[in-house]
Parts: sequence; C-alpha cells; structure tokens
Amino acid sequence: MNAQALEIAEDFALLDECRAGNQAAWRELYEQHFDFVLRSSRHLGTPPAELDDVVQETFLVAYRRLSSFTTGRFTTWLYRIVANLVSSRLRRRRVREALLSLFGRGEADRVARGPDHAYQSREAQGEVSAVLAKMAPKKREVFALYELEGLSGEEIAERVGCKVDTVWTRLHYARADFERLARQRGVIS
Amino acid sequence: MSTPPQKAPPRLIDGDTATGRLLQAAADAPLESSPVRRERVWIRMHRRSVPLRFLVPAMAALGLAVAAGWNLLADPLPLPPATLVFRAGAVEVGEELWKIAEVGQALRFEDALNVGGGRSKAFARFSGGGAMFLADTQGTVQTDRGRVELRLPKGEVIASSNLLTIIADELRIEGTDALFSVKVAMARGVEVIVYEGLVQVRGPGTKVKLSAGQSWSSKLGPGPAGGDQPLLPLVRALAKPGGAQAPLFLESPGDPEIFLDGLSLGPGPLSLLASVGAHTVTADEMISEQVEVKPGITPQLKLRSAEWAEGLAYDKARQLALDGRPIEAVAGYEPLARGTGSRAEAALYEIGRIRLRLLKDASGALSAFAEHQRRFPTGALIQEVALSAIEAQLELGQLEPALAAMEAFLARFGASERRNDVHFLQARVHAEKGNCAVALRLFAGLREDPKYAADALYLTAYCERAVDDLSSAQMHLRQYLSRYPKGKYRDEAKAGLGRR
Repeated sequence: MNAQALEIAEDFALLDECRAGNQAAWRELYEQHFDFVLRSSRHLGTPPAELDDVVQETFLVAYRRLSSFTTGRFTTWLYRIVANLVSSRLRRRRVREALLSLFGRGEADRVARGPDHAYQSREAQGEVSAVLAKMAPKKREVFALYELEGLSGEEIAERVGCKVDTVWTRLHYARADFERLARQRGVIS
Repeated sequence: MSTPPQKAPPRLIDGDTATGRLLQAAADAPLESSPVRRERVWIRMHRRSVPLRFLVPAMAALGLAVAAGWNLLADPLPLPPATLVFRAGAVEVGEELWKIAEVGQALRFEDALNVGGGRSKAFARFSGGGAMFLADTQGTVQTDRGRVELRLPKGEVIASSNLLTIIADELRIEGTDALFSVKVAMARGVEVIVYEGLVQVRGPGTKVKLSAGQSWSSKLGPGPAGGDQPLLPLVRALAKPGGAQAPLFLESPGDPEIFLDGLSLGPGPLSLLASVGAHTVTADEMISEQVEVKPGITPQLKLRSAEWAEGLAYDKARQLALDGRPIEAVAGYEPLARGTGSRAEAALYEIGRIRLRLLKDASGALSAFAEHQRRFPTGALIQEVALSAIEAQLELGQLEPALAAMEAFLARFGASERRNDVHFLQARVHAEKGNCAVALRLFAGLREDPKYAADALYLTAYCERAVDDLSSAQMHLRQYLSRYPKGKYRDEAKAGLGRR
C-alpha cells in the first residue's frame, strides 16, 4: 500500500469512528488537520485576526457534513470547505466595506505604508491576504496553492476539481490580477 | 496580455521581483499553531459557530445578519457532556428514575450520578479530562459553553481536567491543567486538595488560588498539604481518551485489589471501558489472566485464586487414582507437591501412598515420606506419614529400622489415637522375630481395643504355642472361636484345636 492509499485508509477509519459519535476520534481528526486548515485559510487570504474563525467554521461544517464525504482524499474535501468559507467571508466583507463606505469608513481607513515596511513579514502577510481577498475565488485558489502552498499542477487540479491546463490558465490570469491589485495598494511599485 | 502557459511556470516566490519578494516575506510570517490556539478554537466550536464581534451594529439592520444568522443559530457540536468509563460497586444514573449505570453510556444533560457506599466509585470522562466520583457521592455533569460543569451537592470527586468547573455549595472551583479533589462535607464545608496544576476557588467573599500540594477548606481556610491519594494513577489513566474501547467486567473472590496491565483498579466487581486488544488482569493471590477486549463483546472475567486452581488439580489427580490410573495420578500430584501451596503436603503424602499401595514401589514411597518429614516436620499429616513410612519399611523387610521408627513415633506422639496401631505393628514384628514375650505383652494391651481385639486374641494364642504354652494357647483359641465364629483366623483357630 502506498503512502497516499495508507493515508486515505487511515482517514476513513477515523471518519467511521467520528460518524459513530466517538468524541475522541473527532478530536483526533481535528488535531490531524488543524494545521492544514489554518495554513490553507491564511494562504487563501484570510486576515490573521479571522483565522481562528475560519478554522472553527471549517470544522463545524465538516462535522455536520461528514456523511457526505465518502470517497477520495479527506484533505481535498476539507480544502473545498475552507475555500468556500473563505470566499464567502471575503464576499461578505466586500459588501460590508461597500456599505461602510456609505458612512465614510472602510478602505479609506487604510494607512499608506512605505515599501520597506511592507516587507516586514507580518505586514507582508497582511498585505498579501488583502490582495488575495480582492481576487476572484477560482483565481485566488490556484494562485495560493501554486505560489504559497507549493503544490504541483496535478495536485491543484485534484484539489480544485479542474484540468491541469485550466490550472495554468487560471494561474496566468491570477498572477496578473495579483500584481495589478498589489500595485493598486501600493505594496509593489 | 501574454498567452497562458501550458506547463508549470517558475514560481513567483522564487524570483527576484517585487511580487516575489512580497510573497517570500509573507511566507516567512510565523503561523502560530500552538496547542493553546488549538484548544481555544476547539472550545469556541462548542460555544458558538461565529463570534459576535462580526455583528457590527451598523450592519445588523442591513441584511448581513441574514447571512450570519445561519451560523448564530446553528447548533454547537453535539458533544456528549460525559461518558461513564468506570464503575465499581453500586452506581446509579438518572434524573428522576434511577437506573444502574453502565460503562460506555453517555450522561445526558442534567443526568446525575449517585454512587453508593463502601468501595463504590465511578469515573465520568468528558472533553479535556474526567472525574472520579467516590463513595456516597452525588453529582451532575453537564457542559456550559465549552466548559464542563460538575455540580457536587454531596460527596467527593477527584478530577483531572483543564476545562472543568466544580460547583459546590456557592463556590466555583476551576482547575487549570489540574489534578485535584473536592469534598463536600457537612461539618467542614467544601474541602479542596490540589495534587497537580492550579485551582481557583471563587464564591461570595472567596477568591483563593491553590497550587500543587496545597489544600483549603471553606470553613477552616488553608490546610495541610494534600499528601498521597492512592486513586491518582487510576484517575490519570481514565482521564486520557484512548483509541477504540469496549467494556470489560472484572471480579475476584475475596475482594483483593484488581490490576489491569499493572494499574490498580481497586476491589471488584467492577467494569470499565478498556482499549481494544489484549490485557493482563491480576490480583493478590490470584492467578493472572489474559483477556481480549473486543467491540461488541463484554468479557466477564472472574479471577481465580491459586488455591482454587490447586484444589482443582488435586481433585483431578485424586480422581485419576480412583480410576486406576496411578502413574497419571502421581504426575498430577507432583507439581502440587513441588510447590509451596496449601496442597503441597497432602500431594506429597498421596504420592507416597500411591507408590506404596498401587505401584508397589515401597522404596519410592519411602523416599516420598522421608521428603515429607523433612519439609513438613509439623505438618497436619505427620502422624499418617510416619505410619506410612513404617509400613513401607515393613514392606521392604527393614524390621529393625521399622521398630526404631515405631519407638520414635510413640515417644513423640504418645497420646496419639494411632498409638494402638503402632503397638499392633510392634507386636507383629516382635512375633515375626520370635520375641514372643514382648509380643504377648503388647497383644495383651490390645485385647480391649475393639479394632485389634480379635487379631490380638488369635495372635496371642499363636505366640503362646510358639513358646510351648499350649494350654493357654488352646484356651485363647477357644475364646477366639467363641467370640468371633466368623473371624478371619477361624480356620487357623479350628486347626489349632484339632477340629478340622
């Protein structure tokens, strides 16, 4: 049995225990995938202050929909939940900011920062998250998985559910969008 | 715009471009994934799906609440508040109708545990730890926004948890990575002993922090150091969630401490959730047993004492002897005889008897009896063994050693009820050796013993004839035939009187 098959087999055994209501199994599943969900959330553009919320929501959704996961890689299924939640949250936030701008607040509150400051890692992470948050979900996912997660085209295709050619196409346009948005924010010149 | 690539392009993060440097810096940002963060999110999952801080009041009326509402109204994770994983003695669970608590059952909201007296106790495990309810304790385990609350109106618990609040009297007792006990006693109020970690006690006019080794009483204040609590290892072990588990029932006669894989569980009968697989169960003076725990089966193991097992082996060997299988009987007795158990002495004696009577191995029998006399000089069977050894010596024709052994027996056990047995043997040996005067004296002493009267009377006549006292011999032969007309020497007696 290869490593991937072994991982899948172990996941299913654990998931069976979770479905049976085994609380210890559910905690083990949570421990096993916490880092993955946390990292994926960040790479998809979730602001640091909201990471815990996304992780929390992801596991809640996973728990409620556990019966719908029957085949494949559990992390792929879990990633779809993360990606959908992040997209949903970012979409809501854009609506919110648009509404807040009616009251004279929102994006305008952002303080212009110098390029040196932007390269401080935490700030950079925040800026990257902000840029990713502006991107279309499909492009954002491919961009994050390729540029930040370091996955191959095949792995990205499996995770997002498209052909490899489509991955490269989306990445091409995602890069263009990222650079454009980053310039608009003054993060790169 | 350029054409999309058909294969993997170089990653931006590897390039020395403004975007690459930005991504590289972002990737270097630390991502805190500490146990604290994990625990924090885990607890929050059990409170609400989404924190209220997302509900900006200005937006609430603008429809965003509709989107957020799904999360706010969503049920928290349906975690059982606690599961009973250990029960010893009388333990009931219920709210109004009490039922016997079974290990593996989830305690529902507001279910209370009622632990009986004596050595009864029960352990309830919940997320983040568990609590042992000692005898005469009542308590309720429930969840409240991610924390587990244990209401303790009466009794004592030992808890291992970092998410537990015990409510006793008007006090809230909270442990942080703590192992601690709380006792509610009428006279002394609420007593808290901390074995590990930190415990906070809060209530009206009370705010106390206790660390490991400290104790406190609501009526007496700070107390002496907690000292040892023998149940701590069991509490620690039961508080840890294991992998797959299944029920196991254990009991032992005599109520000794029962050990599961070396961990003391206390006296049985008891049941617990044990991890699936093989376990070793032991108890003082009991035979260790291997038990296989499997899902869907509740092994019920009753430990047996070594004495019980020896008794079984002894009875089996005895039956083999009765069935006419002396060699197998000796083989069955030998392990018992070699040991130090309560059956060792009797087994060694039986080996000697079988060799003497059934195997016609007087020499082997004599060895067994000699070993017995050496190993059990004050044993319960010492007189029987001494007589059997004499019997073996007589079988071997060792008359002088036999006579010496008889003298030794009478010297040591002069008041023995078997003394006439020895006198009779002595008389027979002396008669055999031609010491008729000695023999006649001994037979005279036996003629009032119903067991030997007949034999003694005939053999008296036999000896009298040997010393040419024919008139006495004839008189005693007539007496023998008169008293014992069906006696075993009747033919010899008639012949002696010329009546054939």
